[in-house]
Amino acid sequence: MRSFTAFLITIIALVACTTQDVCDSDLKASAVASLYTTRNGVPTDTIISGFSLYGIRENLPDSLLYDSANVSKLQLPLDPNHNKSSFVISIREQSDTIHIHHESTLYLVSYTCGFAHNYNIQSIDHTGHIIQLIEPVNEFVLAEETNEKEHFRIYF
Amino acid sequence: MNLFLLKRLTRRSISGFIFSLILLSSFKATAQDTLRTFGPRLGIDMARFAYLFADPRQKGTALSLDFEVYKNIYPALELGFNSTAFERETFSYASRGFFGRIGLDYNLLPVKDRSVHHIIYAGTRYGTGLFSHRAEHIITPDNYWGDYVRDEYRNNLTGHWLELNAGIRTEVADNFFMGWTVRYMFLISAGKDEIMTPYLVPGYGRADFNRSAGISYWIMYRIPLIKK
Repeated sequence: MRSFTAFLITIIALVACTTQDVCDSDLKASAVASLYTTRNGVPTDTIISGFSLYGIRENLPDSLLYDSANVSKLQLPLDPNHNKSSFVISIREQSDTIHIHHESTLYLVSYTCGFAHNYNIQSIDHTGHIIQLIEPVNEFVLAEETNEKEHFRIYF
Repeated sequence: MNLFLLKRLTRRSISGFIFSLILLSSFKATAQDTLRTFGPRLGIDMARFAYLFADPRQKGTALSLDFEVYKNIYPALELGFNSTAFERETFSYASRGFFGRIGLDYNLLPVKDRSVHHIIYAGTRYGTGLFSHRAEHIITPDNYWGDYVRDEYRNNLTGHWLELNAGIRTEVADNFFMGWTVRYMFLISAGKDEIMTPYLVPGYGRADFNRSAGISYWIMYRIPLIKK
């Protein structure tokens, strides 16, 4: 009986020593777009000034992600509730709309961090007032990757 | 035959009979000392109950069956169940299922007297756990597009592992045993689920560790079927 009590205490002590982790990751998947201009037929990466962008959201007011900013790269959060994320780009007085068609996959990152979405970009279409071309680079947008990875290029 | 001779023979016969009885009984006593009891030994793992104090989320127990089929060799079968459930900020999780372990134990303790049944053993097991796990009220927070909400995700899985075991069994009263087992486990597969890796494989433990250790504290009873 004494040995069983000692055994019981040991087990309780061992189990009670486990700690709960804290999640410090940002798990929102964003598509990264680099901005290019074409001069004399040669594309060059560029910084665009006076750049504004917002997403077209259902039943929610417009909310700017970029407001008259100077940008060379965009981070576009993708919509986990739909298979399409749409954005309006404005440079000074002109604007275009981009539709990113994607599939999303829900997955458990960890029991501490919870769930997140990975995306697979199927296609991108756009209006052509200021945008000349959108070139896909990488179709997979992952929740746990850094924001350095480029997913498509926008040519003005 | 005269009466005297008859009396002498009768006295000698009685003496002989008594001597034979003593001799026989002494032989019988010696034979009893060397008899060994065989029979299936049933056990329950009490270590699982310790978790009820330390981690009430985890529930389960195991039953065991072993039998000395050959000198020092004990085929063993263990069956049990395990469940866990917990809440996180963005989902709740539950898992429950059954497990089985099958293998052999080999007694390393030299048997000096066949009536002694204590053993110190080493053994191996193959284990498998059949379980279902589910997450409910899943939320992926998104302050731009709006939170994504999914009511439930569930899946049925099967895990596999191998074990090295060591332990003791002490006969504390006739046919009643107590003892413990320490086990070192090698995960072969926790079950394939690309959306939600399982938290726990019943009978093995945390699924995110490829190696795991465990301990059992057994109370056992042997059904004394055979004495030979």
